[in-house]
Amino acid sequence: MNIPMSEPITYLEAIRHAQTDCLHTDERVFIYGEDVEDPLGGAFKATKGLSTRYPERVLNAPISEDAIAGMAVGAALDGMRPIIEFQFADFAILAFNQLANHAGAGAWRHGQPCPLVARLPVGGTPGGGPFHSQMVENWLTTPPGLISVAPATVSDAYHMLKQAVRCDDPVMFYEHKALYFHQRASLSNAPEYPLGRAVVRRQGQDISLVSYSAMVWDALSAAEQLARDYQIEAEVIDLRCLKPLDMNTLYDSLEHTGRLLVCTEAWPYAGVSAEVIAQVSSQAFHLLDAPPRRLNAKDVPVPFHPHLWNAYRPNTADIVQAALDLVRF
Amino acid sequence: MQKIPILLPRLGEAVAEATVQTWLCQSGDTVAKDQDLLEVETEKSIIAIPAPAAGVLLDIDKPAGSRCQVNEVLAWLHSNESDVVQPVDSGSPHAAPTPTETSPTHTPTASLASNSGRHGFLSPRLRALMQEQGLTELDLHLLRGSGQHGRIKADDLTQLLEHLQSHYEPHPAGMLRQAVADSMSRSWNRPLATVSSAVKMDALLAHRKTLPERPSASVYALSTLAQALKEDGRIAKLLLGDQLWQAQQIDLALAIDVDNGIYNPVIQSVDAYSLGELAVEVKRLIAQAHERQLPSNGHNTGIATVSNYGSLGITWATPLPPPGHSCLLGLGAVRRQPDWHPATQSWQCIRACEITLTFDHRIADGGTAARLIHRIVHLLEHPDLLS
Repeated sequence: MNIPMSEPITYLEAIRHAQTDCLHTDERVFIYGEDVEDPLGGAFKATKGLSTRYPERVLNAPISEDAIAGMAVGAALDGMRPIIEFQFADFAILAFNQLANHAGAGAWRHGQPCPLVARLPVGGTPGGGPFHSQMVENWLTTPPGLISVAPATVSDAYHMLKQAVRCDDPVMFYEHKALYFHQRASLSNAPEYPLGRAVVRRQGQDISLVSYSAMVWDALSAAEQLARDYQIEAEVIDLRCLKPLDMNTLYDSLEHTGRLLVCTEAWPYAGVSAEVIAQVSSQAFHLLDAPPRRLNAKDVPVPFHPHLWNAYRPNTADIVQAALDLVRF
Repeated sequence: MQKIPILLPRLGEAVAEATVQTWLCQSGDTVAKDQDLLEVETEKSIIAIPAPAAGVLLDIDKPAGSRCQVNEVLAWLHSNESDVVQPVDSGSPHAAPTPTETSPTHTPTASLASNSGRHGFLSPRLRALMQEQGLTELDLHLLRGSGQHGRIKADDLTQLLEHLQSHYEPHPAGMLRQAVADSMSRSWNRPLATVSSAVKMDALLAHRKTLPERPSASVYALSTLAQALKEDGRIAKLLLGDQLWQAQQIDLALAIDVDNGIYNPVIQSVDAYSLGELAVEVKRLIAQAHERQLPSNGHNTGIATVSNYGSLGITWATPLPPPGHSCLLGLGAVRRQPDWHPATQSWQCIRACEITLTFDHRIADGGTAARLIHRIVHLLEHPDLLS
């Protein structure tokens, strides 16, 4: 394929390129979703042009998330590699039965892999409001059998989506809408990591800032501020894969920092951050020199108003303050 | 300059709050370090709170009459002292903003740090490091914590270890040294007090020449202590919970100085020995101690100790009774000294020494100890009374 490897592309373009590659190299791959066909090419244009090139493998679905997922489960069990697109991850709740009870449980129930990929545009942008901004990983990491990945970078968006399609297990692919157009990078020098691996984005000795998806960028900017204003060197870890978790990379980091702050845009209750802290507390208690802490969205529906939105989602200043509290503890 | 909070300190085990009684100075006043700033009233008493550093008193957050909790901010002090003992957020290794720039609100982490024992909250990482290094909480006394409220961070211990690596040379302490250190540390966990008195020793020194075994001063001390305790054993008790346990047998230990340590072998029922028999037994124990061949005392560590520090040329000392011993009788070095002789209205040269009785003040009071030491003095000055 003629993907422009050296030119900077956006996160959204990386997702489109990855799908193009998959359609090109694997005939079992097809894309199914609402309005994914041209001329619209998806709600965010992630499939723009693909139905023109692969008219029989990029298919519009009825407005029924349940039906989309159900059809993908059947196709996957039948040996296909479906990529399904939900216009907004918020609507994927309607497909929860198919994803949890059939895709996730399938391997145990009928001894057969269910290799579908669900593309889930998650996360908020100012003014997105309660039904178009939610993070849904806390729901979809609960049922057994579902892999959950959340790329933060252009390169990860590209490579991880291709790896997800190659994966025999059903993969929930969380793509953050705030990254779609604002993250721009070239793929030429970007390393391809294994799908389940967490990556250290910035090295430091004083505290481990753990996050994923768009929040990685807030953590990185907090780390720069901590270094500049307080001479505190934060290590920033991008989880990338939310289930299963690459805990060894975290433990390696905690070996030298002894302090853990997990930052997510999701709601706090029983989520990925809680899981990370639970595992660290039970497996690596001896490494902690301060209580493990987390920053999450407020436990309320996603607000519309920009001021409320700013209060709702942890920001750089919140991360800096929480990190200071932990380092001084 | 830094703005530091004046916090309500913990004023007692069970005291969680106090009421501000009187402010002894006003905001704007220049105050000296340790100058009393205010008086607070607890359920039991009125206590003055001193300034943690010299400086200028700024805002008073809690005027007279306010109730406040332990660790609550009473007022703020503007100080340019860098080394403030007040348990505030100081001593961070990083160039962090002063507490004025961060809100002094209660965070869960802060309460964890303050709600703890002598060293503050010991983090799992610190405990793991201590275990790795074979350290106990006792060893942490070497450290001043740089965390909130003086909490010891794992880094504090790491830095101490690095300092030791570069400035000291390690040698294994050895079992004996460790045992003595452990015993002394445990002994120090109680209030000890000492009484002392002078003893005229001429009669005793003459008496010992009449005995073929030539008993040493230690033997006389063991014998007199045994007899005095037999007559009045009220000091020979252990305090455990709400019970005082009265010793039923006069088993005494003798402190024997050996290279790099001290042994306290126990002689059971000392009151049953004659001076001569006791001299033989003591001689045997001293020989065994120097050969490190002493038999184990088992669980019987005795009820009191005799220490003849006078044999080292020391005239007065307050050695610690081992844990479980309610008192220790110490003998100072014998010296020649003038003594007023009323019959002849003249000074005479006598031989005398000081003896000390260090005792567990939880169990005995000064009066009990004084009566005991007077009886011991009398017996030492009248050795014929010894059986």
